[in-house]
Amino acid sequence: MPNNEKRKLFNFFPKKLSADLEKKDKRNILIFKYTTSLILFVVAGALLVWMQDESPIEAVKGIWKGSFGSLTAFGNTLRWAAPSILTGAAAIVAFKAGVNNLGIEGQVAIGGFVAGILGVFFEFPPVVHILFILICATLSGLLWSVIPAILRLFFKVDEFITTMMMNYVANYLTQYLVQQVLAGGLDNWGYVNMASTPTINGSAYLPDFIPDTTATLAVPVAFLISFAIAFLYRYTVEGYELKQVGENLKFAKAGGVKVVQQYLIIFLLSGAIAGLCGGIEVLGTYHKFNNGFAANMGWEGISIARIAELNPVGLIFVGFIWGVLKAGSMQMERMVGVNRLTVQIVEYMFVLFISIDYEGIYMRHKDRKNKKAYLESHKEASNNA
Amino acid sequence: MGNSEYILEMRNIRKTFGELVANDNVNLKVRKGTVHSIIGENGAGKSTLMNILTDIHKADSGDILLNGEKVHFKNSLDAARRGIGMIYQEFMLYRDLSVFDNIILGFEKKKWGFIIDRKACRKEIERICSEYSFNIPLDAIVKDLSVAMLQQVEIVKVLYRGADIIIMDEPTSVLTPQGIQGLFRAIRNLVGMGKTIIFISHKLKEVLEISDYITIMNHGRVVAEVLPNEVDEAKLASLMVGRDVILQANKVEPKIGDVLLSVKGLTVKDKDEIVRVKNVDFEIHSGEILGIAGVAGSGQQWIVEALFGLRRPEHGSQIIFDGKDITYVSPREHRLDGIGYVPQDRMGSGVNAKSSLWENSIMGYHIAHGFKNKYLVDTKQANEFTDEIVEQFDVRRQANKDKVAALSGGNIQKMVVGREFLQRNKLLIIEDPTRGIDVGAIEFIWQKIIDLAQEGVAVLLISHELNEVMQLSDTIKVIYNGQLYDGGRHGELTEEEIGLIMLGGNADAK
Amino acid sequence: MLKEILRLAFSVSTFASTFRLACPLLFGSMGGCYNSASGCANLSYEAVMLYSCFFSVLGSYISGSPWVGLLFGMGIGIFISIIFGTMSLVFHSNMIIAAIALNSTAWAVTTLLMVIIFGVRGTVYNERIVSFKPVHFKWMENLGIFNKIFNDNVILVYIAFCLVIIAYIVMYHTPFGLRIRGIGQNEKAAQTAGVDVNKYRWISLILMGAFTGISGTFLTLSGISMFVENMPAGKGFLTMISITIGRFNPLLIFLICLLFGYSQALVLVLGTLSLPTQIIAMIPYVAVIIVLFIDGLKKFKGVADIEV
Repeated sequence: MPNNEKRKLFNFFPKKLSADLEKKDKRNILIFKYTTSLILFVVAGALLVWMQDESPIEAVKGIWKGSFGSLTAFGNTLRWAAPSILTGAAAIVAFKAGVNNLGIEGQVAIGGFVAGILGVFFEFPPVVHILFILICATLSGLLWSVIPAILRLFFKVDEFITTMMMNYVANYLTQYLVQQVLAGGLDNWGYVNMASTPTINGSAYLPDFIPDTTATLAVPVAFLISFAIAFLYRYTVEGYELKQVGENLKFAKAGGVKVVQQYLIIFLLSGAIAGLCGGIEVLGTYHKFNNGFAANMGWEGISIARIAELNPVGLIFVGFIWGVLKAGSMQMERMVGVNRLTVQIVEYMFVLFISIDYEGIYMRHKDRKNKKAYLESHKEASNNA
Repeated sequence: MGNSEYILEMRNIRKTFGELVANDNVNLKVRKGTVHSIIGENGAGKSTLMNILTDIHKADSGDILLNGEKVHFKNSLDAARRGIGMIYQEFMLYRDLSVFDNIILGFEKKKWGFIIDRKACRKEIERICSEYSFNIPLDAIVKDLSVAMLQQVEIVKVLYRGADIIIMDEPTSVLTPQGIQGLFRAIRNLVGMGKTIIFISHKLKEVLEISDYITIMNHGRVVAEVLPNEVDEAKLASLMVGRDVILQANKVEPKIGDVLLSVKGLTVKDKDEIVRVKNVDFEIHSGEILGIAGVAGSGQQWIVEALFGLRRPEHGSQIIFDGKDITYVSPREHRLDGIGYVPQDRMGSGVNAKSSLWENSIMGYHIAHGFKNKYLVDTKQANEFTDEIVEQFDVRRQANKDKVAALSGGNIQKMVVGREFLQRNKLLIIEDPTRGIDVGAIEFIWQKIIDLAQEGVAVLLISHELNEVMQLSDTIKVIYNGQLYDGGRHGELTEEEIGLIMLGGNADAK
Repeated sequence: MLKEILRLAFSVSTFASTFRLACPLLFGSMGGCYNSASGCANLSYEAVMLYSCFFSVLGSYISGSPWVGLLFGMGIGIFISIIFGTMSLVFHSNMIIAAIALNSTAWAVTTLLMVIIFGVRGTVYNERIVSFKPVHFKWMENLGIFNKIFNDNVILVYIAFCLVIIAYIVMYHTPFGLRIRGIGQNEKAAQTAGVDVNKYRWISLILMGAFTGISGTFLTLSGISMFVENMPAGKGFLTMISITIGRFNPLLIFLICLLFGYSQALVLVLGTLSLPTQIIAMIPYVAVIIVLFIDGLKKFKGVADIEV
């Protein structure tokens, strides 16, 4: 029971003050939420830029140019959007079902590492090679999440800690394998690079989505996966059961859902998507596995999933904006002297603002208004009497 | 100062939660040294009123007078300091702390300014225990104690805090008839020592027995104030509900068929390896209602969990359903075999409050009956089934996509019961089907259970309400300390006799 | 080789550095255990630690005194925890998300400030940054190994050890600790006992900020006198993890912190033998998982009994 209560704190479903919200209220809350967050976001961003003695408008221009200014820029935007969407998808699958998978980072790293290795040591015809690697990367991400899943299910060890531990293990393990076993790879200039695997074979390069840009097939894959998740949760029996397992496990169990299996599926699916993301990043962008390339990707995915309110379609939108900001921030740094870290700060400030429980604030406000109205009408009535 | 005839007076209390008016200009006057009962259906506003008194909720308007003096509580600590103590229906205890820590928390005596003076606290508690003759193990961990013991802990806790007015919210709902008598003795003892008790209940018989004054609430308003010798149960009930009700099941002659479920040597251990159910045997025939009565925590929960596949019974247990061994199969297969389950823990196992009505309605149905396409949810079919439940079981709702959390407790229970009853199951395991719902809904659900049995469905009814088991069951069993005792056929034994078995006083009755 | 490893693993210097390396975790976890015990899922240790690393360096740089650095570190720690508290307790935002946002901004903000104030990226090193000086106790000198392990540390190390005892007393022998534990187990009950739940949450949160601030200060001003980008590198998470594994019991947490400290010390000493340090660095994490697994083994009762 105390464990149960503790878990409520990790709950992603905001506390409902009044359960029967009217449609109008829901719309108002949505507007209230996003306008407030956006205003705070813009003000904070402007302030930060202004503190660096630059014009905020110029900075925004820089971002625009870097993200939509040319086809290359747009390709960059999509390139950055893809991993954001994929990690976000991994987070959505897990958190929608109440699994606190904080180990996305480790699963991405493992997926990336496997892709890097298979890209170097195997040579297949292009399409086959890519498919082979991506499947293996997906599987490795999946396997990486098996340990916390089993610990959670059979031994009641909170996945919240084990997944995080597995991040460290993944990080050190890949580092060890790259540095001590492979002894590094050659970088683009022919020097030994201890921190990465050798460059993968050309047959494993992910083809471009928009020719001559950095946007690879990762983009449509990311989109497809979000749509698949949306479909799963909206229309399928499987999705229905997953949702019930996530929201109330006891209920699902009493209802005859195979909770163990479903819970495992959630865990593994989340890990698999993260692993796929790692594989795609390596094949599409870096063409080799770099130590620590997955750093912060997990946190980012969770944040994005949260902004999208765990809605897979919203995820695409938020992931795209994330891509815009990332691609744009580099251009902005070059054009105006604003450090690109500014963008990161502002991004996460937005996350912070959006995490506020606007519904609660709105309902409390409405409650107070009703009460005041009653008291006033009451006063009038007694005055009249 | 002022009129001190009343130790407590509440004037024109109003409290709203969103659109809901929980208390509408409620007035209450309580005399010192009396037992003052407040009765009403669930949702009549009793608990809200008491929460305002203890300052858990702030009233929108209205005054509270203590000894004729107007008071303003800043927080619940303030209320406690003024001598108002409350014993909640769900005990306000910390499971992993010791009884001692539970009692002193918030009111610790200190030495050297910051260290808890355990010795002084213990002395004080022991004084209270001997003065009011309570006997509680101070060093035990709360989660290891029985419910009756926890209630004593609660009373001692309130006394330790120096309460003069003790509010008891449905204190008898978890006790046996004998436990209730014990509680009443304690109450009389307390009143004799000059304490004032506010007794909240919806069990009319008890109220009539213990009270000096009775206040009746309905829909957030006080509808009447009476003395116990002025009224009888029927009169109270009609005041409470606003119409005449007699809680009497329309029991008809059962049509008992073949044995449907037979349980042999069922032994269940909980997760701490403690044996909760010992070697239980029973049989249910189709068309029969088998009721299991017992004090809460006697092992009912584990029997049900084992029967429905939620918990693995120990070796040597055997559960045969319809000629098939189902001892170790999953709940899913129970569903497929045609076993329905109405859990006691309504908001936990019964529904998923975060989901919509239709999503809740098809749980279990989607396995036992399925949809046209095996993999896709057929929204139309789901809605049809939901509508069927809504119509047949009179669930008040606006739309099928409403969140279940928006429904009232009674409506949720009707939905859960409807979901299980309408799936054409062969066996129904029903746990506390009427817990915490109003009289009208109880009548309704009772009738439905009897109708089902008439159609040839076997029903296993497990309830903490002895009355419910006695009214509905064809065969009565009593569980005590994990073992099952015979309670006779319908109407064979009296309430007192069964109550005695519930307490283990008649172990040879097996 | 094995002999060499064992010799190093149990050498005096390894133990000496164990205590030094455990210190940053100790401060944070002794201050933060109340926060966790009150039922707050606070992941923001990493952010608090990173900010305080930077600001303690800044304080020392401005004033030339490590004590001012310490004040700065604690101050910013409290400030960040207040931001977290405002978000989670006042605005009821999701704690995990708020903490993730804080953690992710911390790196960017400190790096940005580093660029703005010191005009460098990567590492801030300046002779005006002064560390705490090691304290020498005369009376310890003839205590042999004990002397080698414990003597000549900065004052903060000794404070950390005292803190464990103080934290234990506060947790189990004062009304504050009792109430905090009560709140964590049953918030409603604590409320009915007249405990101002929010007040206690705030106090515990501020304690967490202040003491994690000391952790950050310890990282920068216990000898190396510099600030490196993303300096805690996961020590904040480790702090939080040791609290959770130690189940809010300061003595248990102390042991867990020592375990982490020891493994970090091993990484340092065995690194000289050109052993794969990554594997050694991995040990504590794997060890934690194994400990949790063994702990959970008791609860194993077959597949049918899953209660998540």
